[in-house]
Amino acid sequence: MMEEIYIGIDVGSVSTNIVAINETKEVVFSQYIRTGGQPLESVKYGIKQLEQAIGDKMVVKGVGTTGSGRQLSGILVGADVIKNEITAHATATLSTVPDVCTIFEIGGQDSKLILLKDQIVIDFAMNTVCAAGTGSFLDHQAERLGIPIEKFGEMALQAKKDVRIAGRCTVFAESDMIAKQQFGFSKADIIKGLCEALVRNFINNLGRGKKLEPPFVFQGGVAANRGIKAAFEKEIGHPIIILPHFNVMGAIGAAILALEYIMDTGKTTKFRGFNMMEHNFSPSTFNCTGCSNCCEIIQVELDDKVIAMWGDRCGKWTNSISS
Amino acid sequence: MTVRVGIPKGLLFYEYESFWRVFFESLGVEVIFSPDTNKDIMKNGLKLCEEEACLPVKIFHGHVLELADKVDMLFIPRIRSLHYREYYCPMICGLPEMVKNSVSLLPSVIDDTIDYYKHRYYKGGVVRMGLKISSDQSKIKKAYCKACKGLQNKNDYQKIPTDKNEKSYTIAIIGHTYNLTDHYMNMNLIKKIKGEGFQVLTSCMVSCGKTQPYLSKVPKRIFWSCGREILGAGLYYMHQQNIDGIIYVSCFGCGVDSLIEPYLSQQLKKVRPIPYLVISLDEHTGEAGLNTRLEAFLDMIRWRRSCANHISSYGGNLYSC
Repeated sequence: MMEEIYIGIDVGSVSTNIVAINETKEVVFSQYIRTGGQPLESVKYGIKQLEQAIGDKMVVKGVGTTGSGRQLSGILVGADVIKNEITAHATATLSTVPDVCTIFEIGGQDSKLILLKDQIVIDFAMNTVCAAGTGSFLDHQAERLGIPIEKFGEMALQAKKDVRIAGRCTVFAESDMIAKQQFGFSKADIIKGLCEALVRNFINNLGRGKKLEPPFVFQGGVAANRGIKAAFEKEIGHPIIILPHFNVMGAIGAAILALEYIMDTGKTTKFRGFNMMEHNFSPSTFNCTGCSNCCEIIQVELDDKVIAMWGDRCGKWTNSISS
Repeated sequence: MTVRVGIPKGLLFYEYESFWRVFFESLGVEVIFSPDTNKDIMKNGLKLCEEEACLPVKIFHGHVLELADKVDMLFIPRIRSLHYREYYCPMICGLPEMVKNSVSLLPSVIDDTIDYYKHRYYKGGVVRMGLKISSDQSKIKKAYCKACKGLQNKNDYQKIPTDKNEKSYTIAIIGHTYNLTDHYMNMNLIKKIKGEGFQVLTSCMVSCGKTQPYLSKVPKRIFWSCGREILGAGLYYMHQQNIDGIIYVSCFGCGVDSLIEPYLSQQLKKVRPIPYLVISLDEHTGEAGLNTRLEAFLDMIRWRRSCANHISSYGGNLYSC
């Protein structure tokens, strides 16, 4: 008998993650792809990989999308559930660590702090105006130091001295870092300083005025960085849990939400099928000229038929699509 | 030809529109409002205005430019105080100066001062403004009385439902009236929340009588009128059992909010820790960030109730509502 699976897709700024779970919420497939500015291509690529790996043994019962590209990718694959990242991450973490109280999630362009109590989200915070607490900050600094980001964490653990780097702002961190290099600190020391700066910034910015209680779970792409984990543990003085699927938790959450939706409603999935890649799927934008707001309208066509439109403030275009 | 007086649609316009319209129309002039905020108005405002001002003040500048070549006189009053022992924020007190400094080629500006705290009456300031249009004192005073009547009618505050709604959710949205009413600036926030099936109450609905008992317990008297209104409404709503969550709509660079908001969130933790979200509006035009926060916030509220009812351990019940 074919096993039933639920697909979760998390399209973020830096990575696109695709997972498949079975009815007992076990992950049977997971893929972490760098988005590289091409969200649709990476979703198509990921789905293709999924099909090749397990497509002939499984039947897709539901699909959920999340992440900043959730709407577009949701239309592409025919998602049953399109959910925000906060709900998706919290759902995924709760399914493995039911008593979790604090989730740190650091992704490419945003970071989140989610507080839970008795298995429900009671508060959350996202980074505000700046990116100095996110993966992009580390990416950028790794590039400057000429170290592959994958080795960043290990190097941080080799540090022998403490270096304090101003982490308030990416630009100032950089000039501070140059100064510290000139003082003769090693690369490892500086990397450790950067990790601590990021964590300090995260806790100050997002955790301000909030009570952080264990168990702590750390997830998102940056959780691969052992230096950051160490810095978090030092800052809050408590061990931190990193789950095996830390980098695809959003996608797992989306898949679980899809599963629960299908179970609850008994509906059949809107999944377009694995052969959707063969269809001509093209999003485009144009400026509406109806009024002086000149809204940028996103229009999605499937085989030359417009299937979705959004981006208008007044709803003129969104409502023009029936069904 | 009748004189045309232009009133920019920004800041205190949203609260006192009817008063000034009735007043000027009774004096026999044509009143022209700028259109609702749109992309051009915002763009022009950002270009013209002092960098350090808050977003609503910048947008106000855009409205002024929109009217500048269409009217004979522009109405930008210097509202210092409208209540005893209270002031408006420095941006509003100095609005005519800021505008005159930043926008060139202005028509003549009606910029007289209303300072209730100092003078203890409104009429003097309003009559001085009237004299810029007409020399007939009795006509101006009549116009003033007529406008006041309109204001009294407006002040019949809406009845706020206080019974717990089992089927839907009630959210209180608090913030400066201009932040809540300018739908371009707040990206249709209220419409979005209502579209999700939530009932929305705002800080503009709460009368002084309701806020007074709470404000009188605040250790130091809040001397900003707008800050008092917001804090009072926030304190009032957090004590109402039917409120499922509170959203504070602030704007980047607001001095009043920077003090009121942290105080309110502290109080909320002590009194009744219900879901609370601060939305800080800025020049961003992308809606994704706002939508994600809003959706997560609404999910959080639904999730809470479904858990209280022991329907599902997590997530599951988020759709059926």
